[in-house]
Amino acid sequence: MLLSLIIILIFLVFLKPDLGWKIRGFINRGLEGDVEGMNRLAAENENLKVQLVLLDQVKEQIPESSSGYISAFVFTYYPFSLKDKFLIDVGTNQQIKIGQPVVLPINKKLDSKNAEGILIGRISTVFDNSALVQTIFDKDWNLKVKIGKKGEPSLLKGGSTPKLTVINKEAKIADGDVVYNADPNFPFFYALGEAADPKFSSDQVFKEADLSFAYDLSRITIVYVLK
Amino acid sequence: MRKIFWFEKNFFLGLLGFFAALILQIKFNPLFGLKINFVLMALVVLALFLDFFEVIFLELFGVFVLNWQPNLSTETIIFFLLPAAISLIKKFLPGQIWFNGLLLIILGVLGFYYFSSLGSFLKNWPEAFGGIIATIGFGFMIFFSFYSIQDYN
Repeated sequence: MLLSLIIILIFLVFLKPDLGWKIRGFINRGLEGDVEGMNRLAAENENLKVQLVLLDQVKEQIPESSSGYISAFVFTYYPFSLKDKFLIDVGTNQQIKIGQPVVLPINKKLDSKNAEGILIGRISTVFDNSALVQTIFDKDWNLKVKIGKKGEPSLLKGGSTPKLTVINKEAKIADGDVVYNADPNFPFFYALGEAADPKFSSDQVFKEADLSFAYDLSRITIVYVLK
Repeated sequence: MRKIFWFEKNFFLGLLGFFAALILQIKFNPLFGLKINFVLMALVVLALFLDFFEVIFLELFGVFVLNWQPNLSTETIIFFLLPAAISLIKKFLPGQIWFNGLLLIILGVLGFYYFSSLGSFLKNWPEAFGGIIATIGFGFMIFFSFYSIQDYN
């Protein structure tokens, strides 16, 4: 009896891994409400803040952001600690490449040309019909960002509580200041979250702050991969 | 040995503990900001009390549900090998079962992190350290829960 079950499980592990992901998805999201809707509202809120920042800056000097995207469903999340990645249902067969930015969408208008949303990660590994996304919560993630209307530069260091580091000690950072991408490898002016609890670094040379989020990354079901 | 429903008592309780750990890992991780490897700990502890094939069955079920990509990742392979190895070597270990248990829990967790994500650990050891301590703490808790209900007479 037990041996038969073991053989069935071996078959499932190698030939039907997606069934395991569905079971996990059911356990993870089965009894919850409209988390996706709440995440979308949070993303919309962050994006509005970035739009306000944009009004104060010279938009013409900013390189054009992504002109297209592929929407993808989240299959499953990295189950252990020390890494923060998830698997999506598009891969090489859908022209996905390593390094492409991944955003949490604001709207579900799949016909719109530009994807609006919050930058949450990048493609790190690609399979035939799936790809791994390394998120900003991954400890190996680093990203150049800007903070608030004045665009104070900072280096975002990933982790379960991402940190905004090496901020100029003269910079005026307040709780709730929007944090957006300034890394040339990703589209400019994609929001990441908000600055929280700014303070001097332990060596007093720089300032640092936490990065806070209004969404729950572990409950996301749909993302956009920017082309 | 006493039976509960169709199962041996240990296997039945092991199933309950395993599924509780699985739900904790999927649904309630991170817990208080700490990422805890609940299922790995449950399997390491159960490897000390269950038969080899019972452990293999639970491990395969864990791999089936927790595997997170089309290929088997290094983490998944280590996740499978560690409890299986403990189940094989437990009879040859000297010392009391409680001492072996506590030692194997600590070595199991450290071995998992060492072989699966040493680089990430070294970069972020203060944060990772908390998760490791919490994982070992959970392992001790489930070990003593299981140890206290064993019939050693």
